[in-house]
Amino acid sequence: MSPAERALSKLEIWGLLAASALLMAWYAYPQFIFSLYPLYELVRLLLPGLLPDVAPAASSMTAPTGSAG
Amino acid sequence: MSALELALRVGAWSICTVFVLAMAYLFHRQLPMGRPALSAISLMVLSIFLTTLFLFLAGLLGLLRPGPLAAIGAGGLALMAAIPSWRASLLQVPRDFGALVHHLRALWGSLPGWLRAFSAAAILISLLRFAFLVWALPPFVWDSLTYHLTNVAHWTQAGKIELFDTPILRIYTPANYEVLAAWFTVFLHHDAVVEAAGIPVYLLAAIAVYAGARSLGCSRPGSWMGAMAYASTPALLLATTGTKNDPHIAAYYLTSLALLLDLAGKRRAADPRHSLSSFILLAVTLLLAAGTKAYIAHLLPGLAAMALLAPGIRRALPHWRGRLAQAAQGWRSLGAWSRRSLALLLLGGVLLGGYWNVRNWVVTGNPFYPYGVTIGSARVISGGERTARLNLARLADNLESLADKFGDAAGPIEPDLPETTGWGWFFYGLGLAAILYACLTRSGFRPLALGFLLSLLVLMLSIRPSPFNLRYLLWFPAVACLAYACWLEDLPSHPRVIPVAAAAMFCAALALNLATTLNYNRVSLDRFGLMLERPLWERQAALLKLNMPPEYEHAILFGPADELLGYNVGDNGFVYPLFRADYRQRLIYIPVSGADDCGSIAAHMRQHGTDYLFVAEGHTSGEVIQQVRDCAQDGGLMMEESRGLYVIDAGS
Repeated sequence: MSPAERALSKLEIWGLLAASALLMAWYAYPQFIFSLYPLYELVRLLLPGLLPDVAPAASSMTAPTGSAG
Repeated sequence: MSALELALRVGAWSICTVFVLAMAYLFHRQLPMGRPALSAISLMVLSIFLTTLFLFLAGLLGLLRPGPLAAIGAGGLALMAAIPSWRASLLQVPRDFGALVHHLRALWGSLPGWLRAFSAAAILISLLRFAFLVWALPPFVWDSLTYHLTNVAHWTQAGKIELFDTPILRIYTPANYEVLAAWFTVFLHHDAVVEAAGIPVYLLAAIAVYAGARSLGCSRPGSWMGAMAYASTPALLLATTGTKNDPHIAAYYLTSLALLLDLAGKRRAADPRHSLSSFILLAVTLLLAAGTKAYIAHLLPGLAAMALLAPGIRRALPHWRGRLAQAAQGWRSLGAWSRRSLALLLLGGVLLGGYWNVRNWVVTGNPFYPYGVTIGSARVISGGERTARLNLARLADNLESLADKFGDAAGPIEPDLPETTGWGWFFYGLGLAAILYACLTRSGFRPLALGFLLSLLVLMLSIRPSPFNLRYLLWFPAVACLAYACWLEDLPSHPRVIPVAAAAMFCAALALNLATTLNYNRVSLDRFGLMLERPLWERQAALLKLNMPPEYEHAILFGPADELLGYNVGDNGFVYPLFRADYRQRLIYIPVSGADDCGSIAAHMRQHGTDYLFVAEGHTSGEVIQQVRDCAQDGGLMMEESRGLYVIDAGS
């Protein structure tokens, strides 16, 4: 592999890592909140009374979605 | 249920499990695959297939009870022990088990230390999560409560597989998944563990991704990471314990893909038996899928395209002709006994693949009942209250819906996927970039990507545009996982920051995927509490106040558990919760409409042998509810026993 090809290959790998980081950041809003919410509920289940119930604020998480048809 | 009765039921289940696994092992030995990952696929597919076939045949014969099933299982095991060649084969189990452990240790040993630690934690958490959700919650996904589990409940209660009178016409659709789900209800006569019916195919799907990655030339650690990534897909995780058949189709699709990738490769010139085994297993898998859900047919063009393109378009015909010639040579090399047993296996596949449609054809004149089929504007198959359509307008609508959901930004990921794709952190964070990279740098990956894309497009031509149809795409994120496995092959180990950053992102994506599915994103803590405060045997689907009108709870709490209960719901209403978790409640459909007067409704009830009629808001038509309510208020023929539950007045 020539030095130019090696440089290009490195660029590809760094580019992919950077693209992945950007895509994860893009996906993080708002999925980060949704992803942590079950964990929050788990802690509330294991340690009752430690954390407040925020379910009404996140009402979409408990609202029925109706028929899958 | 007393401890003795429970022990007897579990004992019967264990005998039948050993019997089915022994059968699977005997067939597995007839189908040498030549590679450990494909051997694991073979054993898994055969176990699932033979469990389904065993229960299916017993169900048709009316033997769907623990006693008769255990008797067949014990008799079958005795027969296996009595036939010398079978006994000799079964005596090889410890040796083969040792070989399996050896392969697993080699695989585990090839993983870097951080991946071993992360994998062990992920497997442990996944096991605990599956066990908790199966144990804590009753079934609650809409389609399960209307038709999937309604079939399972009726068969378990009746002891046989049969059609029955109900307005839910989707009980006619192919039902191999439901047969397998019955394996988890028949022995206990209870639905306590029915959500576990998706776990075998979840494992199969993950192994298939591993085998596919290995066929693409990826290393063991890369293939393992690809399989782990797919196993963490939120949509798949939520569906696995969601008592639905979509994870099964995903697993069968990916299994077929892994087998085709192996056959399309060049590495298999030596042993014709390996080609024969792959073809037979491919046929069994696709037939099992055909009897599970019809949309596997829409995925086939993508598989076919991948198979044709993978060896190279110019070499495709000679390549596949060569593979078929090898398989034929493999067949000729078999003894008469092996040929007969493999022919029987294929016959069983034809039975499971075709029975449901042939039955519908005989009973209703339409093999796809309750669906008529329209292609473009032409009605190809008439009959049926619903229509399956293939046209370009649907493709546009479905692609628009997919575009709206792409990125999962509209809400939390729920089992029915109403607002999201459910493909999760890995697919969007690492997978998209990996697909691009693999398509640009690996010529061997492009046919695979095209196959996935074609399967997606053909499926989108035909599925009904609905907020809930992304569940048909559970198999799709696997393309990103395979691409990622390929990308890992090119990842340099220096400078050190590159593999460290890649590993950190991988772990973060999978941990977040798992975190988002710890519950179903629909079941709040108080609903969990509601179930956990009840004993396991009393956790009823009707009592989980999630998507359940209160009438169902009243029917369970105040209804006549040991008498025949009449019900009237529409064609998308819940029937399953009325059976009760222990399937004690006998049900009968009362076909009345809002046009029936009180006398006619009472006459219908008496004619069907019941004094009770159940109706529920949102599930029964408003006219019927109003009419029975008026009848009860008039104080004549009927009275309201509890909300939604009406009884013929004994004095009338």
